Amino acid sequence: MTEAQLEERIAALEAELARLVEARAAGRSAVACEVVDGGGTTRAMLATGHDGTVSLNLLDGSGKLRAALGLATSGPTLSLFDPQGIRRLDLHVGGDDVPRLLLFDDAGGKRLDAAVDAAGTASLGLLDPGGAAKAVMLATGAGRGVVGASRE
Amino acid sequence: MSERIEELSARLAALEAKVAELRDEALIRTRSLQIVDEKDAVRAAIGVGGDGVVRFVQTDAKGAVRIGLAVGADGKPGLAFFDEKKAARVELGLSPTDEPALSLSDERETVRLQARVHADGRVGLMAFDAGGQLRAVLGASADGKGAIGTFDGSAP
Repeated sequence: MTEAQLEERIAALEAELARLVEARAAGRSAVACEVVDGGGTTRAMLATGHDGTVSLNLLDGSGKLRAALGLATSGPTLSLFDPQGIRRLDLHVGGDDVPRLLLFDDAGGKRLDAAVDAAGTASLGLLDPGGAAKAVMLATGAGRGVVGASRE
Repeated sequence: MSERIEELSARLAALEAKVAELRDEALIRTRSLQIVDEKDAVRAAIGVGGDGVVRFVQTDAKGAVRIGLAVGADGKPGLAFFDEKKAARVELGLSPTDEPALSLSDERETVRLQARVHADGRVGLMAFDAGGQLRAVLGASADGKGAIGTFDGSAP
C-alpha cells in the first residue's frame, strides 16, 4: 500500500473505532446493527443494551439524532428532535403506566400535555412558555367533561 | 520500506486488531435490514432510500406499509400510521419549520384534528371539517392567554 492508501485506511478505521467505542459507552454494544447510507454515514441504529433496553435511533444526513423509538426500563417511548437536538415531541407510557403525548417549543418548554391518568381521567392541557396551563379539556373517569381557558 | 510507511503499517495493524475486537461484540453494519415472516414476506425493514430518507417500516400480511418511522432528506422526523388503503391516518412529526404536531386524518387524508406548537409560540388543538375548514379550536397564545372558539366554516 502507498502512504496515501495507508493514511486513508487508517482514517476510515479510526472513524469506525470512534463509533464502536461510543456505542459501547452508551450501552448499545450488547447487540447492535447500524444502517449506513451510500456515503457510509450511519443513519439508523438498532440496539439492545446490557440493561435490557431496546432502541431504534434514526439520524439525519449529518449524523444528528432526530427520532428515537425505545423500550427503556420505565416503558416504551418515541421522541422526535429538531436540528438543534432539542426534544420537540415525546410519546410514552411511563413507569406509572400513564400514556402521554408531550409537545415542546423550540426552547424545550412543555407546551402541550395529553394523558390518561391512573384514575381514568383523560386530559389535554395547553401551557404557556412558563409551563402554566392556559387551556384545558378533561373527561373524568366518572364521566364529567370540562373545557376551560384562562384570560390571564 | 520507508520509515513513514513502516510506522503507518504498524498503526494500521493495531487499529485493525482493535476494531475487529469491538466488531466481535456483535455490531453489524449494513445498508438495509429486512425482517421476514414464515412465508418469507418482508414484514419490517430499515434502510436508506435513494431519496436520502431513512425509514423503519412495518407491513401487514398483504405487504402494505402500516407503520412508518422516518427521517426525511431534509432531516425532519415523523411517524405515520396508514390504513389498509395506504392513507396516512395518524401522523406525529415536525413540520418544515420544526413545529411539532399530531394530526389525525380521514380516509381522504384530510387532516380533521391537529395538535400543534407553532413557531410563533402559539399552541392549539384544532378540529377541521371534511373540507379542511377550521371549525373549532382550543388554544393558548404566545403571551399566555387561553382561547376556545368555534367557526361556521365560511372563512376562506
